[in-house]
Amino acid sequence: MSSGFDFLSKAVEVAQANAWPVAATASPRRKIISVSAKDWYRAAELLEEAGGVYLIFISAMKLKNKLFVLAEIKSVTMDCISLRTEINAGDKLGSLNVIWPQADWHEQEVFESFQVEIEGVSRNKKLFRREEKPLEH
Amino acid sequence: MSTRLNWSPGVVAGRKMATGPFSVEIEEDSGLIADAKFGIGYIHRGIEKQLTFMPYSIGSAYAEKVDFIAAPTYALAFVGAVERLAGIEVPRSAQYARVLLLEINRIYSHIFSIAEFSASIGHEPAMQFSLRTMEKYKDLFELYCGSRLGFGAIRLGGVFAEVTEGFLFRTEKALTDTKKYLEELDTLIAHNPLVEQRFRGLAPTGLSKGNAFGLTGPILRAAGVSTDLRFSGGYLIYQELKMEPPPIWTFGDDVWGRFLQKIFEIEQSIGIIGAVIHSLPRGAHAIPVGLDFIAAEGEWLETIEGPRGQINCLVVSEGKKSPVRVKFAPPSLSAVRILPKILRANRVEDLWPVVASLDISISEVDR
Repeated sequence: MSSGFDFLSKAVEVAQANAWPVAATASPRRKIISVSAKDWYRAAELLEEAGGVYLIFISAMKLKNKLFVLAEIKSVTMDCISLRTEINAGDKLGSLNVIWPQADWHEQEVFESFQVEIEGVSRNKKLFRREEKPLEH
Repeated sequence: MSTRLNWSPGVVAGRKMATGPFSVEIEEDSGLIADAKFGIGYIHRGIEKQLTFMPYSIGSAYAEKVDFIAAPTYALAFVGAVERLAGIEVPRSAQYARVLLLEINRIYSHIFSIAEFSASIGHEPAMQFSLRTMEKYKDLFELYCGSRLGFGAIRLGGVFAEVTEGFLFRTEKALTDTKKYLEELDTLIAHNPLVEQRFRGLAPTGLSKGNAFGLTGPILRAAGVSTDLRFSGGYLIYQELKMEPPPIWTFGDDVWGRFLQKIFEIEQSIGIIGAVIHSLPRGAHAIPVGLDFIAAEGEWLETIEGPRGQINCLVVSEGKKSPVRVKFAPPSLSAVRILPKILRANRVEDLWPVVASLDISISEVDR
């Protein structure tokens, strides 16, 4: 399906305008944009305006002893941008719930599984029903 | 005066109100739902974490447990990501076999959903006929790979075994029986004015105003949004079947429309299976992949069209025998998120039909 709309090119333009590194992946339809923790919300907002209408998931992973939070954002043409940020001690991320309403459960899962502080995430009710030590990945 | 009603996870799962345990709390006011809260986490097994301990070649055995109803589909999501990462070219005969197994799985899943919906409205005959037809597809999976739910059917590098003439014969018989079942369903529910009157216009998702929750699959297609990765995504050999993308019938963005969409997609899958059977090439069923298989360093996000919607699987490799991170994004998570919104101001007795119409698999929400 081709509609002439190129989400990846627009996303790369946004990244270059803000001096955010862009990395290719094994897939030609997916790229990685790396931002700092303080730019997390703004980058997500700009990508949504560039055509990233679908938030696939927000999650975290440990790569080479570094903790990254990633958000997979897709356009209507199913091209994908992986927005990524490295989390250091004391870093807090802005919640993406305002942009994509479904983000809150993903962010809750990231908090419970990886102890990443995300502003606006409720601590009162656990998603995974465990009141004692959170899961560790 | 409002009343709080609780359904515990055991009651929800035990009475087959949903495909798994999750808790339901609703605020009821004069018979209408004022607010609804859903809690998950009762079936969390840490599958994504377990996959990081397993060699790639047996990872599919864990991946398919994410959703027991769509086991081959989840197996494909995981092995597809690994194969793309490693550059493994699956034999064409195995790709055709995979499409055959996936569409059999899709029909089975949709019939399961119809059985659930029929049970939620108290329509016992439709539920029993659906369960009877489901058994035929379980028999097919048992004939093929020994597991009635399709565990082990799709593996890294190909499929479990070569597709035999006997299996194709039994598949065609099952399709013939399914067409008779659809005629019965037509009489029992699909053309039953009482059922339609109750559910037409009930619980619209509001997709015409935007897809804020990221819904995919039959829920989206019922509302008239044309999106089906089988025809546009270019995975496996769907596009080689030269099937025209189906016309978008807007069955309606309501419980009734979602029910009719399931029936339509069963008919669609019957057509796809027929096309595969007539063009299935002979050849190897798999490329051997051993326990010491190592995927190249990198990552791949595989997206496939599952029975409930798009399944995304991210596999990240650091060049070792196991992935360093696996993440599944299931379609049912968006459906659970939208439930409180679409249930408000509806009757309490409509709660379970609405839940059943969204075809939620709690197993994949929780992982």
